[in-house]
Amino acid sequence: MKLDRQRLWEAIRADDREGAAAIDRLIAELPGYVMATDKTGDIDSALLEGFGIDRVNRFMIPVEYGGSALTATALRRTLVFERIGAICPGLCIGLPGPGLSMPPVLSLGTEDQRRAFFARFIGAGRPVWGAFAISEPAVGSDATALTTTATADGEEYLINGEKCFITNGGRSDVIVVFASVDRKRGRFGIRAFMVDATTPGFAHVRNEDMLGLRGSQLAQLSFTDCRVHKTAMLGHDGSKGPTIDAFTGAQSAWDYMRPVLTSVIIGSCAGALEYAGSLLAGPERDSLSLSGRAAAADKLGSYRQRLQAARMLAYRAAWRYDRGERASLDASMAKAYASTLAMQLAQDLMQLFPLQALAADGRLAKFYRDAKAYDILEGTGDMQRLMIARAYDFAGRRTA
Amino acid sequence: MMTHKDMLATDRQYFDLAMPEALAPLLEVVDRFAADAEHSKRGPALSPEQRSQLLERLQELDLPGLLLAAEDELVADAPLTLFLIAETLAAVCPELAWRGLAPITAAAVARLAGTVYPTSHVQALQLDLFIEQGTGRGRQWLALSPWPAPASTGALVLDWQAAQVLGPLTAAELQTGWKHETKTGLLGFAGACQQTLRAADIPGRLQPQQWTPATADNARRWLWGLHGGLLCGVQRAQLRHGMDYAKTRQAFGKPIYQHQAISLRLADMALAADASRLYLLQTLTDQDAACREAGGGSFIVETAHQLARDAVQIAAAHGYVDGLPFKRLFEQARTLAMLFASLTATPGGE
Ligand SMILES: Cc1cc2nc3c(=O)[nH]c(=O)nc-3n(C[C@H](O)[C@H](O)[C@H](O)COP(=O)(O)OP(=O)(O)OC[C@H]3O[C@@H](n4cnc5c(N)ncnc54)[C@H](O)[C@@H]3O)c2cc1C
Repeated sequence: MKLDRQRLWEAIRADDREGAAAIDRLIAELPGYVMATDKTGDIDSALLEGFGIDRVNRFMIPVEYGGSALTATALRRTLVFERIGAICPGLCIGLPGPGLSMPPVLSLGTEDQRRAFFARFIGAGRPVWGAFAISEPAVGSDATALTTTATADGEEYLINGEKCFITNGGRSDVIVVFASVDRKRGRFGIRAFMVDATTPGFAHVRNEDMLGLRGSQLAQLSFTDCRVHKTAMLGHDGSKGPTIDAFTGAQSAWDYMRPVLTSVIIGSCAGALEYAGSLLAGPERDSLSLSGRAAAADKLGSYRQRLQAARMLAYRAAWRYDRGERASLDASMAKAYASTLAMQLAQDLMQLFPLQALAADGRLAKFYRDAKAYDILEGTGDMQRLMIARAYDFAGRRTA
Repeated sequence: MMTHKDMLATDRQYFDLAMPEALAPLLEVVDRFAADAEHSKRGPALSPEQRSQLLERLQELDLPGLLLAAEDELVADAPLTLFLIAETLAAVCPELAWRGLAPITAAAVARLAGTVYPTSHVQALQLDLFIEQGTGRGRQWLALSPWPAPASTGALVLDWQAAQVLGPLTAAELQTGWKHETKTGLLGFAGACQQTLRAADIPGRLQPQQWTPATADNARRWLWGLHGGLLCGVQRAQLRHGMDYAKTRQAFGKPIYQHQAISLRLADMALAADASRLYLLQTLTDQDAACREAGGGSFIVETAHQLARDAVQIAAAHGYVDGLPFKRLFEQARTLAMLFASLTATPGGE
């Protein structure tokens, strides 16, 4: 695949001038909010108010439902989110918009459900978040074993259970919740429901104190006899429910999001490498010997190459997704490779610049804390590798 | 899994260590606290009451007395003993271990430089270790302190590069003659701080005392003993909690340690921890100073990063957030690894 990133970037900006202006503003202003957000987990409302917020809300929404052309294809999303991730991955993941809740609605929802769901994010004049809630205290990698239930009660369902580690969960207007309508049926009993955060029985229990990515706020949510109409079930048209389980929707969310997340990771690595380069060029280099400086420069060079390889994996996953092909394998490969790379880079930067890395609130320390999350969220590195081992084209046959 | 006591007994035989008998009550105290702490969900994080009890017991035990036998004499093998005490304590509470042992280490290093610090002052003075950072912007010291503020703190100023000791300074001298440039926290240690101090106008009383290479190496052994011991203690805790968690957490119908990805990761952690610990112990006893010189500790630092990363990975999201011990240990390991690295970093300005 031949790709001129700069030309493509210019071309997509021309497709959505207002969106591009919003991105420019974000890129210009975000750096001023990074450290404060890292401390509190909250994004200062000054960043989110006023000009451009409606554009930001639309970033992950398909164009046909009023979304931004800037993020209309997977390849475009990789370009946009690498730029924001380079400033702060936590803030990038914490930005308003539907996030991971979008793809299940797109792949499982009825046309009416899609329109109603996406309309929440358009023209609200304020930041609007959505969340995707599948993980539970006792269930993570093996999400098919989830225990949250949705019990039919006339025209309604009663949702009961606990969800944890939900990105942006505490500030979301709407949450796509995965629950079982029949636990005996295992994964085949799982359905996804759109739950409005004002629904009685829904509660935001707390935000976790997490190591890094703090701007993206991990929330614990609880559902106690949380009553929703049957049409809140994705794929329910009012008379009958979907014939397929909601896991296809969850998988579509991961296929959609993993190339995006990989780009955020790549961005954060590129930002860290740039910073490390500036340390080598600035007065801080005096704390290294001449041979130490040469070795550090070599090491940074090798990481730049590996980062480019990670980019190519992300682009391939995006390209396949845009062609409508199954992209699970490519998405897992991109995410696993970039996550491992990020943690290695973080460790090596600690060792190359120990004196600069000591400060708890310093740039390198933050990168180190953020980087540890990549191998966990949206499926651990182990789960990605199991998927790669199963589906990689070892024998000329591709299964995902 | 091997208990700490068993491990120390093996070390004693393997390294032919002459450990002071007085270490026995310390091990008892620490083991008892470790056992209590294990019953709580939060692992080795001691409650405030447990902390103050432990601190009291340690004071009763006269730790300085264990390491600094007489006013002007250091116990033979003291850096090794310091390592073992630090490791034992840090496996339960790294914060307490650092706070309890840093002043003793500072006093020992001051003594090596020919400055007698009465042991009775050690607890009260709360000495810092200041390590020089060559930055090309004048002389600048990095102060690594397990305490919140230097108000009542004296300082032992080490010019690491020139192997000189400047000071020690009293708190009052520190307040008047030095410019505090930055002051930030250290990850994982509430209240600890790092400061960059400029000494452009150091008061004239500071008379640099040149160290002989042997003295410099001895000082390094003390610092390696302390920081290496703290790191290894944290690693013991990471391994123990990793194993405990893997036995109880279920995924896909079985405890996660039955998934090979997890059992192999735990095995790799154990391999790396034992190998780097034995290497550290060996370098502490080795007569050849070269193994403790610049860059000699990079393997230890790499191992610390590996264990920190893998312990969190075993608990995945539960390890990434506060609650279980993994997040705190990850943060503490990072800070301790950085402290260790700063002792062995290649000096600048070749
Ligand atoms: C920053 C962040 C954001 C997140 N955002 C969301 C969100 O928005 N919505 C949401 O629903 N969830 C979210 N999560 C949760 C995330 O999806 C889970 O953490 C992840 O799926 C792993 O689950 P777990 O943490 O429970 O680990 P577990 O499943 O308990 O795994 C523990 C360990 O066992 C390993 N393991 C498990 N099974 C196997 C196996 N079969 N073979 C080999 N190894 C195995 C894992 O790799 C891991 O190392 C987020 C997590 C983080 C850290």
